[in-house]
Amino acid sequence: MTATYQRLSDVLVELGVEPDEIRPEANLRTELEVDSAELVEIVAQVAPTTVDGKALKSVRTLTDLTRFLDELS
Amino acid sequence: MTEVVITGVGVALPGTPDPDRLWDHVEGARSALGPISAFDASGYTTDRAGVLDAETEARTIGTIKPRLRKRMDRFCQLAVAATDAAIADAGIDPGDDPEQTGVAFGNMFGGWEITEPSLRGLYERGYMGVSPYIASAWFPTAPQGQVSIGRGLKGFAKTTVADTASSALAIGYAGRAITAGRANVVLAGGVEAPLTPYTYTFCETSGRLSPTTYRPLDDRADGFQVGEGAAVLALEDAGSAARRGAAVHAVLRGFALGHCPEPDALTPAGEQALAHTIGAALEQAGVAGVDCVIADGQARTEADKSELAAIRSVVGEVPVTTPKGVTGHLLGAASAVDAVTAVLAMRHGVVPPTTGCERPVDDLVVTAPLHGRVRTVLMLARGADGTCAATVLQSP
Repeated sequence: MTATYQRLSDVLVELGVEPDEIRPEANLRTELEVDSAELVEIVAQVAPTTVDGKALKSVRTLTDLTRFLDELS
Repeated sequence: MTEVVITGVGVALPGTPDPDRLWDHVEGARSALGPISAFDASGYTTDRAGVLDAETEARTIGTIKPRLRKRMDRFCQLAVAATDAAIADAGIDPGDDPEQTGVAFGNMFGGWEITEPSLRGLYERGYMGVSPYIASAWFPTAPQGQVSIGRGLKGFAKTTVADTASSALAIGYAGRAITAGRANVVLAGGVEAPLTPYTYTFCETSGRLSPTTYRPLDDRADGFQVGEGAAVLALEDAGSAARRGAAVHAVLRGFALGHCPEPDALTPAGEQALAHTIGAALEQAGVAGVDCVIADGQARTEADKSELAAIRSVVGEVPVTTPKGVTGHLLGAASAVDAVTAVLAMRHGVVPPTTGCERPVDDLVVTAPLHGRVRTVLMLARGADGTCAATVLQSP
């Protein structure tokens, strides 16, 4: 588990996502009910730099998002 | 013609998480005005307003799940809470017939709680400083959208913006939609959340704020203090209500809309337009007189005197009151508070006193509870844009 994944997990719990629903392969939209607006909110809290919102369109799972953020750093 | 009835009421108002508490305040002439704490209002004409207290907030918008609540501006939260209360009071399930269930809200300013800090963030930190929820947060139709989405409604949906007459239009148009067969139920009312620095600036520059206190229909009136909140009615086709055995609070008998040139609004020059509108509403209702009038009560001597003159010219000697001194003037939502008050006055058989009024500009104005049968109520609303609205409610 990377530091980024742990940070994302913490943010999701703060948002009200149930901890037992948070898994690396969890689909953000269909399982965690994170829509595009909430995804931006999450990224704004975790990203080390400014993010191009369009680049987030390819993100599906929590693992995808972790990888996306790690590549920014 | 299809009859339109009120089968539910819901509120989220200063000092008032439910209609019973509203009645306690209104009948007891207890003002819920207090200091504005959301921001430093010391540089404005008044730093007092009608603000939701902690208990009311907990029992209304505090019941919305945090993950949903954060997406909504405060005015949407207030609308959702009051609408849910109206739905519960009516005993309806909007999901039973979403195509025939609608929503109509009046609002004056939109909602700026999310947007104001976002604009600051935009200039200080760039686009990442903007809330991702801004797109659905600020515009006047946002409460209509949030209620429709949250309850899965697919029927008639409108937002009316007509200064301080906005929610009178929402209720009137909702009634017309039901009469025309466009909906069986419309959740209709008003919402306003004017206590952000930006929105309150417009209250200030309008010149309508009182530096002393809100004294509607009083000869010392020098403007009003604003209030935040929402009030919502469940308006329903009478046949639909009867089929499900619903309790009926009141019948919407008449609604008329008029207009005068904007410079004439709230002045003696606008009196004739208001009188004409009152006459049209009474004619539609099929009544010659009413048991009381809930006045617009702008709390400007010229505006109040011209309103009372219009009432006297059409309705004659009739008790006149307004609950606005309890909650503060809810601007685009004020008429919806008046409508809930009318329902409660009928239920209790009391014309309530005019909170804040000690020296009435006219002896029609009620300053102490007036006990007796209250069967027919006329409600008036005016906007600084020249809009005049008159609505007639009657006990079932």
